[in-house]
Amino acid sequence: MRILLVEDESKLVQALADNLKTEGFAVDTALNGIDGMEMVASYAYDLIILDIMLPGLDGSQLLQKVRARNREVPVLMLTAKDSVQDKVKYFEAGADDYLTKPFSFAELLVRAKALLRRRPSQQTDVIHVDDFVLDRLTRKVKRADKRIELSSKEYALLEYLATNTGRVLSRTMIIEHVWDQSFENLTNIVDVYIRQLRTKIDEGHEHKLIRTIRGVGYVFGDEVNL
Amino acid sequence: MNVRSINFRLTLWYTVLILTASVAFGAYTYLSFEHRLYTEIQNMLASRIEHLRDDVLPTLSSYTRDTLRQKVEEVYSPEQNDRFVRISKMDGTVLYVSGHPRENTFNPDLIPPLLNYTTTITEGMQSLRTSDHLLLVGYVTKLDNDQYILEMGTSITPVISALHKLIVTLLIGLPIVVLIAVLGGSALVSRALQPVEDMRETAEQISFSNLRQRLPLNRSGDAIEQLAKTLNQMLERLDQAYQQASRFSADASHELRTPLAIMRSELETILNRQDAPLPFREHIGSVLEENERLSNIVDGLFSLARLDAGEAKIDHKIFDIAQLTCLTLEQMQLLAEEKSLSVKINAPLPIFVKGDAGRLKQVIVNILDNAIKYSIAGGSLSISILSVSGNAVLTVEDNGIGIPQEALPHIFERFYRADKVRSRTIQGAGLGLSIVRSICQAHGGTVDAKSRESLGTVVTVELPLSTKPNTQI
Repeated sequence: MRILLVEDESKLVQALADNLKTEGFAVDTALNGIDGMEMVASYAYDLIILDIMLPGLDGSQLLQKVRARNREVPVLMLTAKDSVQDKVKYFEAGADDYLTKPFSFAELLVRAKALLRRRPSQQTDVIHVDDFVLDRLTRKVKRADKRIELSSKEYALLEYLATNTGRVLSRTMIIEHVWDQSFENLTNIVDVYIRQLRTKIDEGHEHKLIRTIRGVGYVFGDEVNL
Repeated sequence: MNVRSINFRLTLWYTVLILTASVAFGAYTYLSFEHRLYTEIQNMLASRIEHLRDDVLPTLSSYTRDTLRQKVEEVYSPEQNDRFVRISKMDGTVLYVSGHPRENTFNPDLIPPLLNYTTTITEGMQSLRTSDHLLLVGYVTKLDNDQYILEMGTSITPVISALHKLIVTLLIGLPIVVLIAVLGGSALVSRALQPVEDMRETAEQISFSNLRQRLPLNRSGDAIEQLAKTLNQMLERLDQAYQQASRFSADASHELRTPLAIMRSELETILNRQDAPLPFREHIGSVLEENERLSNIVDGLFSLARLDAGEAKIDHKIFDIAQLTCLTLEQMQLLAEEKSLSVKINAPLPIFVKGDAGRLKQVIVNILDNAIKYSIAGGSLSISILSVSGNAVLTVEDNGIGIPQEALPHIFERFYRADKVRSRTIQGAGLGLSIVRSICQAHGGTVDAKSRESLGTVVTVELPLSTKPNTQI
């Protein structure tokens, strides 16, 4: 997997590139938009991590050029601004995800992995994991053939976890998908709902389905690496 | 009707002016008409008197009383014409007086002499209105050492009646003229103020989300166009200031976040190194926590800066805030259940407000989160959203730890923490309630808290109801 990192702060580039390499990725870096564009043209990257404020050609212009050339490559935008309109604007321009500085490397990694896999791992209407069954059409959940009653929010959270079985999801990603912007600073709400789901799904079962990934978030089922 | 409005005042002034002008015109018409009528009659009587003088006086001595009567009546027949004729000497001896008129408008015997016989009067024409009914003209002349007075008068009843009719006409006509003036004036004022109304409507639409819009110019070259131009220039400056402020906020945000991001990455790189000794890791973990705290403060500060810059109300949609409250509570249900709080919600009816649903949801989340955070396990939480005298009123009441009296006035201030020790254990930077207040104020509303220590807190948010419900929900 080869990642292109376009960011003008050389120290940040260095630290991120080192950490990504440690995680087993091949990383190319560019310190400005023009170099970035040249590299996009020269190699088919699996993921582009793009800062918005760049000298030469700024991130959103570069994004447009990337999209004109390749509609498929996932793009993760990094930004130091985080107004709602900015987010909407970049998603409309074709960004796949968006991360506000400062972010933890774990968060970046989780999001990068999610983008590299692109589609949810479970696209079927009925998701089977071990003796766990989730039916997305009837919104019914069973474990070891026993029906489990969930509130609508608990179900939404479980469905998000289950459709991403094997993938680590950060608390912020969960907030963004299951709650909304207004809950941004309320990451403990995720822990509370996870705790509740655990008592309903995992209590009394040998095989625990919901696992905590320290400092990052949660994973449903066994973590699958790329 | 608004008596202080410019429409009303202009119309009032217009009406007063028209009324004054009409009254003055009516009075002038009446007085000049009256004067002209009397002058005409006087002139007519004067010429008759001259005629009488030439006809009768030279041969006066040849007449007896009866022949004089005959002569006068032959020529003038005063009784038939409602006229009065009297010929007398200066000493008061009456040589001839006409009889009762046909219409009986005056009694010729009771008419006092026009001229005071005792005084010496120079020869010539004298005239006087002796009563309400008679206009009298007198003429004094000398003949053979004797002074004679010729008096001729005519009934003025027709004149009075004509003048009376004129007054009636004026009194009926005047209110009609004034009424037309008021209606016309009011319409004219409205028309003249239409460009101002257009400007107002446009100005009302202008908010921070469309500061580029300008007021319409009517190209009339008058004060109203000048006003629109001046206001547009003001909008231009406002737009520039706003852009500068938001650019500054974005730049400053960028400048602060980038070093924070670098610091964090560097620290994490050290943490990832397997050879780092444990005490190192602990210290670095602690610095990372402070880095996160600093990031939260920067986040909060820039949220506030953006709210101040007008982002607190980007959307202007009408939506049901009762529904939003119920939905938000449902999304947070488990937080309350975790603390075994009994939650009651009273939201019987849809309540429509106009504004930014996303921002107002943030308000509800912040208030509910605080109420849950500061509740004691097993406590109760009661939420109501009602419409009270033109306002949507959201109250969130808990029976938690409460807020000390001395802290209460400051809890909406930036960075204020009621309890500095406790604040360490609760995330955030003491900006949550300031953000709540900024958003409420941007929506023309208020937020207020009442609290008794160890008894609980009531937070009340009031927002103006939308004037137009049932549209574009």
